[in-house]
Amino acid sequence: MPPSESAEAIVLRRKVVLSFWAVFVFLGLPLWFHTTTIHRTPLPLSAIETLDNELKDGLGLSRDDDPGLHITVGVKRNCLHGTTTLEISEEVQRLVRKEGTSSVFNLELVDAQECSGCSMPKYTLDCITSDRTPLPKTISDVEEISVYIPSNNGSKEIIASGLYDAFVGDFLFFNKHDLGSIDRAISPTTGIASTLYRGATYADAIHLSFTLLIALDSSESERHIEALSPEFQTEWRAHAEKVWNSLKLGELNRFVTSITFDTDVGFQYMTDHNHEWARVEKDGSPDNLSSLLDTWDLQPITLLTTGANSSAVKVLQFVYFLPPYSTNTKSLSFTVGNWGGVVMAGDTPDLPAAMRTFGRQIDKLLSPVSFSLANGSKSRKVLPHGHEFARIATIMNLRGAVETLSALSRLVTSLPEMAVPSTVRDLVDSAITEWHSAVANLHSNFDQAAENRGLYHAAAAAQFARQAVFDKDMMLNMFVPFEHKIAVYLPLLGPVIVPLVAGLRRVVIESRKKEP
Amino acid sequence: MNDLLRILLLAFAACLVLVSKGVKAHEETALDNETLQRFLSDQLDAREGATGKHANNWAVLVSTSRFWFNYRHLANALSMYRTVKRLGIPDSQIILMLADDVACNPRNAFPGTVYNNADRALDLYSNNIEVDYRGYEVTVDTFLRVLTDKVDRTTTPRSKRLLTDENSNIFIYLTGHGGNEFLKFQDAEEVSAFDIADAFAQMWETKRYHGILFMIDTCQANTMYSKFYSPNILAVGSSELDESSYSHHADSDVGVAVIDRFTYYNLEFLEKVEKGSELTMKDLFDSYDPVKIHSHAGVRTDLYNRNLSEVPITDFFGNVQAVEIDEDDDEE
Repeated sequence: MPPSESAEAIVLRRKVVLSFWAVFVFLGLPLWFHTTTIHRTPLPLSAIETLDNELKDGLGLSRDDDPGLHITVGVKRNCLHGTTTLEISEEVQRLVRKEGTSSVFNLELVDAQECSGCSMPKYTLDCITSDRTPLPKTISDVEEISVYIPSNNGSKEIIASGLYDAFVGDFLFFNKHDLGSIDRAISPTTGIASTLYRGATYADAIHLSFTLLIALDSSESERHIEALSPEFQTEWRAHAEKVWNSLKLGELNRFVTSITFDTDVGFQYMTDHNHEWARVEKDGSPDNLSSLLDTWDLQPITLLTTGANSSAVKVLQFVYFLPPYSTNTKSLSFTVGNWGGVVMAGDTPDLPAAMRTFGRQIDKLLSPVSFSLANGSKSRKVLPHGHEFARIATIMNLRGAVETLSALSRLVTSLPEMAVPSTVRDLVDSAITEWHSAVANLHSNFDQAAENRGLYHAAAAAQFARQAVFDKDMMLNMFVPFEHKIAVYLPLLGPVIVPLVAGLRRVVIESRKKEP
Repeated sequence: MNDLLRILLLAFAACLVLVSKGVKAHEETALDNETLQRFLSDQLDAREGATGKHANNWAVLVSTSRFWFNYRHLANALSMYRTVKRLGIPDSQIILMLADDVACNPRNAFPGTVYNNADRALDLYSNNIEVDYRGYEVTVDTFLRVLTDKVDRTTTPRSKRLLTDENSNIFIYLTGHGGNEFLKFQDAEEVSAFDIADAFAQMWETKRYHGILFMIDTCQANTMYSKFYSPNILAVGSSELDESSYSHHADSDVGVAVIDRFTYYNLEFLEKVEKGSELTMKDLFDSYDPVKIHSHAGVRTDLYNRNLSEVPITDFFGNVQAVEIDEDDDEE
């Protein structure tokens, strides 16, 4: 039998056991809870939902309350026999109301021949009596819309209907409560423009890389030797400067914050191409050109990093290709969505022409071309028209921002094991602030500077939203099966818990024995 | 002593109760949650689904094993790498993750090479491969970050990022050692089916894919896609629950198995595919023979709403280049 404990020893033992338990309960448990809780900063989910509802309600924009965007259509005299511009305008508005569409744009019809003091019409309405199909022309910034009338005296209803059809389903009119239609109307869903349009709205930087690609095994050709000469490189830069300068001054800068170019020509040589080149020589179809492209493992000469907050730098490559020597080499150029463009030199390389082609390819890739309409047809080609495009791009960026924030909201709600750091909250708050600034500028009553600011704020909102949803610290805590946790913790804590529990039990039993 | 025994038994019983509750809790969170169900059906309604055309192709090829005796897993991944490159996906659109400890391993009788066949006709480790993540970079954290693009943009080069968008078709191939709803990464950690499912959910929400072909060659592989819940995912695994996947053959000179059966028969089919091939995904899946593979390959199609007989192989294994020939413009 072990010697009985002295009274002091019993008291000491009790104090020790209770001290251990006090540390365990008041220090250990809170510490354990704090260090194992997934840190989730609360996000303003209701504010995000409010933004979504505001967008669905049309952002408070209406033709009556807000002159909004001003579209001027110059109506040619052959449309104005028996009617006036005012009557046609009223008839168009009647059709708009009847069909339930609305517009953020304000349509103004003027006599094309008498337009003193009015702003330059962006569109011209021409009434055609024959069934001749007019070729769509773009003269500088003016676009012609043709309406067929049965005789020289077209009624206002026919002319208005033609004008309405020309615009509705396009980016000018949209159902106020169905922003999906504006998205379908102004967001190309297929082809080159669709893959780059987002780049135009979201990318904060675009980098253009130029490469001279030479088929190495034909280096005996004179044109290849010429291409390697310093004089050729100097000429290359001189012509490229013109292209670069025109881009810097152009409309592209309205919605892309930074365009940069490789200032040095990149030379690359390809060797393993004979099979694919033979096919292209025989048949220059897109499939064979695609196969040839696959053999080029081009890397942009310079890859930009634009700082900690960049989402993505869109890199486009433009290749001037000197093919193997051939007697029937015809100059050919093609563009590849989201990749860039290629100019294949013919027997007589023409560098100025190649540079002009690059300029057109850049414009084609980075400017919206035509849009897929809700009925599956394609709209006319529309060039970006200054503030009109600024408003469209603003709305698209706002839509993108709200979609991204809503996605973040859904992810945070549905994945409780995803950490949400405080930086994400800051980014979301910034996105919401920029969103409100953008919307405020949309109500600017045709103030071009305000519209440009609105576009900037909208792009910033979209950018902040993307940064929030792609924050590198917002990782999902990995799923560890509970039985695995038990298997880890039991051997760790078991040897500690058993004596604590046994000691406490003994203290409790002794206390009960003491009671009479 | 009796007291001690009683305490231990009580603790053990408590653990059993907690374990059973914990497992059920996660399953409920992951799958039965009303919010998730609503989210899923909203997305299926709102997004166009797999009927639209994709615009670009990407591939994520991962060998999760290391060490010499797992030679075949590296060969599996490199074989798939060679295939997708042959069919047109460029290196800039392939993320290749390998332990890469085989080609220059002191045990390699053919230094600097990796073969997937005993005839050694094709060296997969040629001078034209681009490994994006190698060695100890291949971790679960890295893999999930690549998928969700939650990387440090100041230090991660573009070549190591999966720069996909809503028009991208992604082929994701995993090979290694796995079990019931988990996959081992380099003998150090595991990724669970839930983690991959949640990563795909994030990808869907952030519009990072148009369609995913998820292919996995491990033991009990089919369990890895059982927890997916995002739309437009076509999943295929090499073996069912409680079933192992096996290697195909060994090279007596190399000394280890050089390829797995499931991957071997996939490659046998894919060698017949050229860029303009009209073979479909259904043709590929119909070619799976349990007798040859020695396991029951599974295919999950409920999240993919296209008819597989209308989905070309090249939709996932090849590449789409939207080539448009320029019209002749007037001279300036």
